Amino acid sequence: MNEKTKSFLFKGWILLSTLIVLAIVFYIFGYILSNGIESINMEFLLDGPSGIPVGSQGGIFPAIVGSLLLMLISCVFASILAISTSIYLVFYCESERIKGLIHLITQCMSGVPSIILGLFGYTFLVLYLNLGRSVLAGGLTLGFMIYPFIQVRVEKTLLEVDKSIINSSYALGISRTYTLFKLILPICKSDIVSAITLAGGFAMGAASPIILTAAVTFAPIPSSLSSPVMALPFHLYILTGEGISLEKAYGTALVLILLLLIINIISTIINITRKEHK
Amino acid sequence: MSILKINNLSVSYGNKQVIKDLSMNIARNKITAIIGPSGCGKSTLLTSLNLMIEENGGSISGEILFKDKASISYEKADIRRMIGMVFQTPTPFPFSIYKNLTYAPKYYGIKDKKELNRIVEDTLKEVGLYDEIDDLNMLATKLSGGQQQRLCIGRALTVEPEILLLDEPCSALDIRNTENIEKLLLDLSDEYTIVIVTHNLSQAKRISDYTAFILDGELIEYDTTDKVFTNPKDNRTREYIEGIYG
Ligand SMILES: Nc1ncnc2c1ncn2[C@@H]1O[C@H](COP(=O)(O)OP(=O)(O)OP(=O)(O)O)[C@@H](O)[C@H]1O
Ligand SMILES: [Mg+2]
Repeated sequence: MNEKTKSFLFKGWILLSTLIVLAIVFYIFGYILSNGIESINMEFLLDGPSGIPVGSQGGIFPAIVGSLLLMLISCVFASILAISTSIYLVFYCESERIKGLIHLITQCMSGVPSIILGLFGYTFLVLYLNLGRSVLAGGLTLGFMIYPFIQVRVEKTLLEVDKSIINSSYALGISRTYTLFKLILPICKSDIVSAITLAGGFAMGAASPIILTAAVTFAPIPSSLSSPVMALPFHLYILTGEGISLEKAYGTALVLILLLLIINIISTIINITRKEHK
Repeated sequence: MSILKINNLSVSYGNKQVIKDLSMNIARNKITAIIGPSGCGKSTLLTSLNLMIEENGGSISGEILFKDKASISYEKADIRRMIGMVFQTPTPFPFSIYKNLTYAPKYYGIKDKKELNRIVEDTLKEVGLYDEIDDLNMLATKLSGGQQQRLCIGRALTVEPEILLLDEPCSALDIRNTENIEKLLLDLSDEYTIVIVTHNLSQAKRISDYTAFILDGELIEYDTTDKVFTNPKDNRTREYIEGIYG
């Protein structure tokens, strides 16, 4: 085989793989869209579930609110921890051993299956800390799940800031803290925001960490952080798993996907406008 | 009149000694050029003067007197404010031109909008950018290389230093931009003491009052630029100037 045919075949292979992946994505999306669009209407989006068994009638509004709340709590919790850890590792930690240890812990955390994180959340948060099955316990558990995801990305972004730019700030006699808050973080802001939104989407779609810690089949919009909640992925699981209503399940899936899409679009827009304003 | 006195300075990275027992005085409001082959320790010497060497993992022994007081007895931040530095490749912050120039003044407590505007305007005039820029909100990274370097010089001037250290500030620039910067440095030397590391011997000849030649971390020759270039005392200086070391 000569070089020309080789490169021709290679290009063909790349093109084919791309097409296959695109086709699968569009197929999934189209399938859910065509099956789910029927059940989407005002009532479905804005009402609570009803009927016997619960969920066979009515809507999913409490689940939408619940999922958004869980995402918010997990993002706040995980990003505070992740950003602080990354800043410590990149700018303050002098010891290679401590750095290695923290990296090891982060890696282990990201390797823990999410159902086991759920179990941990259940024993530690729900039972031991007595938070009960609640939106707070679920949010924190999801936070543990996305923490490594955010930490790794934020650390990478911080490391990518040009050392000579940082040094020019130090060379003006300016302190580390000011340099961090007024120079480094603003430079990294858009990357950090997009890492957090991606992680938020990840958290919103996850069912296993919340099965034991937060989600219930039916609940109104939570009145406090200690109330249990409905959540889209769990609702989806119940609707199909218990054979309640396949039609409503597709509707729920479509809403979940659209929400994730909207979140990603918002983060892209934030990124673009931020970059223009810098 | 020496603003800086360097006495028996040695600098090492780990156990590798780069500057060896070097002594020299820097004259106030003059331009001093530091020349020497690559790797001889020019940047190391320069960064020792504002203690930036510590950020690069070097350690110094010996004495540096800034206005007759040991530089280590000052706060590190104060030394760096009074001895500004400009790097080899331009390092504008990826913010607007305005923000680049107000970044340091804000840190030093200037909040008044009018005062900040004045600093920005004066600085831009000082470095000759005032007429070249029409939008202060433009990203500084969108300026040309030469403009960026002048902005960086301006940024160093916003904290009102007394000495300006420049490490090969023109090596990434073309001839015209180099001329601009040289002219700027000549103007600035009325007010500031300038120490410039350069690979470009004719640049040293054009702008500096004094020239120091360094070889392997040792000061070989240090005199007025005129003498160093027309009548060097040391043979190694002569060889370097005639282009033996390249
Ligand atoms: N951060 C560092 N850690 C260890 N060694 C270093 C460090 N920086 C410089 N050196 C070494 O110190 C010596 C002098 O380096 P320096 O950068 O001062 O030379 P220079 O004269 O500025 O060279 P050039 O003209 O190429 O810029 C070199 O041998 C270099 O390898
Ligand atoms: Mg150098």
